[in-house]
Amino acid sequence: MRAKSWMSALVLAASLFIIPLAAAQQPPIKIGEINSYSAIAAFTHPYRNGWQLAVEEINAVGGVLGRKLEVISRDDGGKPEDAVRTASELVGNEKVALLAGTFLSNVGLAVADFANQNKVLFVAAEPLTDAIVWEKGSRYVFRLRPSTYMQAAMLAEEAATLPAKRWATIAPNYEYGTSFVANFKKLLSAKRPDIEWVGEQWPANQKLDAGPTIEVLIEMKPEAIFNAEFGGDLIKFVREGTTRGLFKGRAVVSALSGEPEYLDPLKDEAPEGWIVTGYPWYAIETPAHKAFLAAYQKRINDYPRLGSVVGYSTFKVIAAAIAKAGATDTDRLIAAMENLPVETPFGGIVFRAVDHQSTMGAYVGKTAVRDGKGVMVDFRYDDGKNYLPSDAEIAKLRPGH
Amino acid sequence: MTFVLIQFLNGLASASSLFLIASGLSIIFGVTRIVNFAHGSFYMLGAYIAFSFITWLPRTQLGFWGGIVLGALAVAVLGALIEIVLLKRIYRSPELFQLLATFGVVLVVADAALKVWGADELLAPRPQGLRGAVDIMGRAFPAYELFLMAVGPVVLGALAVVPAHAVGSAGPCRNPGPRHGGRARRQ
Repeated sequence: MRAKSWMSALVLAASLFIIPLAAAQQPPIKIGEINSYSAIAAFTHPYRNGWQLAVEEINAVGGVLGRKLEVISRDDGGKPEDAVRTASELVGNEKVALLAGTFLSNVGLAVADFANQNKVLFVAAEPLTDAIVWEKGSRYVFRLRPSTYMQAAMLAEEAATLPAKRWATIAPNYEYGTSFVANFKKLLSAKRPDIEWVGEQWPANQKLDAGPTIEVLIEMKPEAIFNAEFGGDLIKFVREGTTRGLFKGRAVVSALSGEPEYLDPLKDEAPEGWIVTGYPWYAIETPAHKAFLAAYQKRINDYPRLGSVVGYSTFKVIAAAIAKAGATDTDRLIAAMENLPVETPFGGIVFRAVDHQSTMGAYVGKTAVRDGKGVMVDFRYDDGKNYLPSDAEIAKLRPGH
Repeated sequence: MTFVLIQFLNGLASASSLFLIASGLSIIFGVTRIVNFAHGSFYMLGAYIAFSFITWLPRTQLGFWGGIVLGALAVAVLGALIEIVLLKRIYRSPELFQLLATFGVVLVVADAALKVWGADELLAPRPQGLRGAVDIMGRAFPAYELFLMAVGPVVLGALAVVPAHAVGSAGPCRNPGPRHGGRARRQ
């Protein structure tokens, strides 16, 4: 044959390969992810490792509905206005199918409001305030982690068994802190009407001036303390409080302090005997968690933090919802997510139809120091579904429902 | 009354550590006539570098104080580097430019620190002997804060004793900015 004919034959043959290839490459499902990576790296970096692991596992088996997941991740710097601007850009420019993430409760509320206004599905991963699914809840917002109400209920259950009658509280002065303290006071007083609330402290988030604040708490002469400080503030609170004798002879109930991202930096200065919610990753024997732990350690070469479980579970939930919905259309996703059972490293969870809150629970236990590190001991898993109010009470809280 | 006294002492300790930082800023301004926006960054680097040395060296008194000294020396070297690389070139620039340039240093140092030491909280150990509390009118007051309260005045005294011109003679007086009309500054 002549050269020209060879060329045509070659081009024709090549094009026959390209057509099936193009058909197999369906466009990926774009998911917008927003979190406070620069503001609270201790939580969000493991959280990112968690969701990256989940997405890898999902895409390794071909993705969902034959399409790979593509996550477009952005930093909100811990500021609600930046988070909303980012959300707007993700939805408007990147055309994501849904939004996920956030950490701080005020940021979570801002993005939830955006999602409601713009009719976009938002899977709130970590922000804990009740308002996200109750006072300011909407059909477009689902929340994974157990709320301040749920965790306060778990902790109040333990606190009620203590002899202490005079309680003082300290929590960061923003949505998460105010919500947690309000719930803890309400739930504990309901179990123990004899309890007297002798005082409160409200330092600005991540700006605790430990020495003076602790002196004020000492001056209140409490018998027990409820703490919701976390991150750098918790470290300062523990060190200064221990040195100044705040915790001598006093019970301490401390929200989130058993989470490794907050407990581990304390090393051998970790407090002992505090009642905490947390994540004792080294001692959970369930098959679901063991599988997650092995996969995480193999892939990330580090031990998981609670953030890792949150990130991983969030994207497993999203994949399950898309698979059940058979589409990425918002209304069908919402319908699919309600009452959808999903397996997570903490076991099976369900997103309730009444408020879109998941039944994910938390580990509650006591702190101790072993081998120069803070750990949780005597812990148990409190299933979220047992720590929620009745549907009737929730209906009264939801807007317009 | 005890409460007021303890809060007062807390305030003194805070003020003392702020004074240490501020005196450094003041010296640098006095010598270079540049408000070093990145001064806080050097303070941060000093803390991080001292932390690295302290955790690397054995947990003894020498290990702790040696780590502090090494941290200070390391930041001094970094400061000299910044002077040679950046400040020297902007002595004659308008103040806004100097501010912007040192602000650039802030951004670079912040990201560099994040890369080198990571995002986790790091808790430095306190030295033996300064870990506990001293009984003041029945309240436990941290020994470390008493130490801080003492260091401030000591540094102040040292600065008063060291003659100003010994500190200032190495500065850019030979190349004064336009504000100084070209005349050497009076010592």
